[in-house]
Amino acid sequence: MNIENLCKIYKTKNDEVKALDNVSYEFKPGKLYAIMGHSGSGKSTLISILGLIETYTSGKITIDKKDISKLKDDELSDLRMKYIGFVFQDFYLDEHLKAYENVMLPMLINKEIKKEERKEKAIKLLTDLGLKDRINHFPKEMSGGEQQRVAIARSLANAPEIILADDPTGNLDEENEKLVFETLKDLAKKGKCVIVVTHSEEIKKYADEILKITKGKLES
Amino acid sequence: MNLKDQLWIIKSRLLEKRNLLFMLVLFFVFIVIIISLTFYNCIKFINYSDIVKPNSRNIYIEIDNPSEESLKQINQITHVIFAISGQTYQIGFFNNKSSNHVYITPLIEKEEITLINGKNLKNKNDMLCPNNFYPYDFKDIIDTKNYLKGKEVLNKTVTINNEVFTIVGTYDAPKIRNTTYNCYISEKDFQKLVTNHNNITIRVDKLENRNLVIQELKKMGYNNINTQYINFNNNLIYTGITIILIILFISFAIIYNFTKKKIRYHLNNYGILKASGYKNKQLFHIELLENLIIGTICFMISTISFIIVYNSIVTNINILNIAVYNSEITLEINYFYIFISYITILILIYIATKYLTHKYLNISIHYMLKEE
Repeated sequence: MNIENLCKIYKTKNDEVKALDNVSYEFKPGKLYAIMGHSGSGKSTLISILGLIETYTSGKITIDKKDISKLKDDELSDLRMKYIGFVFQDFYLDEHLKAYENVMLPMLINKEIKKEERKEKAIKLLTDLGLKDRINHFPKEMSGGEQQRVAIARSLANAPEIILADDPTGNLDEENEKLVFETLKDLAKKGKCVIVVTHSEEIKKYADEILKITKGKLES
Repeated sequence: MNLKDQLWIIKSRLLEKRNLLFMLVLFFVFIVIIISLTFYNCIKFINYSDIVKPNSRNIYIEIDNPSEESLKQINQITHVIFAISGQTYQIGFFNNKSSNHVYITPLIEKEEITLINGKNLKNKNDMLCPNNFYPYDFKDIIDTKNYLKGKEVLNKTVTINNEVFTIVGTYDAPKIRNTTYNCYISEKDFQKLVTNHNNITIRVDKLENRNLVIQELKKMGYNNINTQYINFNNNLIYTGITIILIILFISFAIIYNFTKKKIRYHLNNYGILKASGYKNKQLFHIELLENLIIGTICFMISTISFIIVYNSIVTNINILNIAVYNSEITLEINYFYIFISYITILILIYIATKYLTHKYLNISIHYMLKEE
């Protein structure tokens, strides 16, 4: 994933706020990137743009040599399904679905995964993340750390190349934070490009690259 | 994404509180629509009675002993179905139980009646009666002890002027708004019964042609021409339509409001699905399918409840089932109208869902996930 001169300007009635200011960087597979910065520095905006869930004002993003600025909404959806897995601070699990069913959700639109394979794949992902005993549990029956690991398993459902995590440990205690970072580190070791936005200094133990963002400018 | 997968997503959340409340409201919406359509149907039925009934197309000329030649001439006028000497009339009859009244009309070949039981007129002194035969005047109509239904009527005899008539068939009287005691005999038998030849009865093919025939008759020199007064109130129909439109508007407002709340409530879920690669079209199909299922469930429950309640009321109140303006009125549930109300609600659901998903799913995923 490559970004060049990325700018994001939020327009209000009387003012303009530059959230990202000419940000350029190349994210490579097999590495864990940590993006750190103060509140309002633009880190969440950056990861949202990288995850194709937020628009940008100018610049260029290429994923697998494809310039995404030329893509239509449906094509962006296809790209998100194929290349990107997103983990959020608030987990966003469907409370009516069991853990494995939450993981199955992204698979429903992936034609490459056969219907009969979905459940098996979801169970395997949860087992790999140490949630074998929680497969049939509803989100409310799990701890925050477990819910976040279910969310990580869901982000891996369609085997994306890029994993984006927006403050994934923001709602977790230290023990669970460690577990989540270890999980993300393992994914990077398996060849995924993992980009984490966080406030936690703990990430420094796991990250291959630390990127600082200040007033919309990225510093490596 | 196929239908089965969409159902898989919906099944888990179908019975959540929000949807149950939506179902309850939709249940009442359906009940109100079905009730108003049923009453509209009754109003329409009564209002159109004078236009539909064959006797409204009759023209009567007061003339003593009309000649065969004059009848022949009238029969040749365009739009005239028949012209006969004598007037269709109410006549007393006797049977072994009591003496009552029937209204005798000659059945001309071109006349359209729908037989329900038995056979058509064939032999001498055969008679056709309404399928719900009630040989009484309006003042007696609440008393149903001699009210005969369907096949019970067949082979009963009626004695008129010492002639014994046998009921060989029953016809659908409400369809042409005939009274519950309007019976048909052959033209030949009718002429035998008619003793007072001081009238000509003419029937025209369509009500709107009645005046054309009257003009022709006047040109031929006939003056004492009478017709039946047609009681038709357009305002009644317009009021009914206005009330239904108001109900539909309120229904749409309710559906729109609930769908909006539902979509906003699920916005986080839709946001995460979009972040996982779902397209707006796929999410619209999920939301639409869920709403259509809710609509269909409510429709079935409300229709069944309505049918049970309505039938119990109609069966227990006989007068409702018998007559308005002395003409039998069917208060049967109009299933076509119920079907129309179902389709209408589905269309309203579709419009509300289409508009609202377009409005909410096109905002940035980032904001969808932040929606509380």
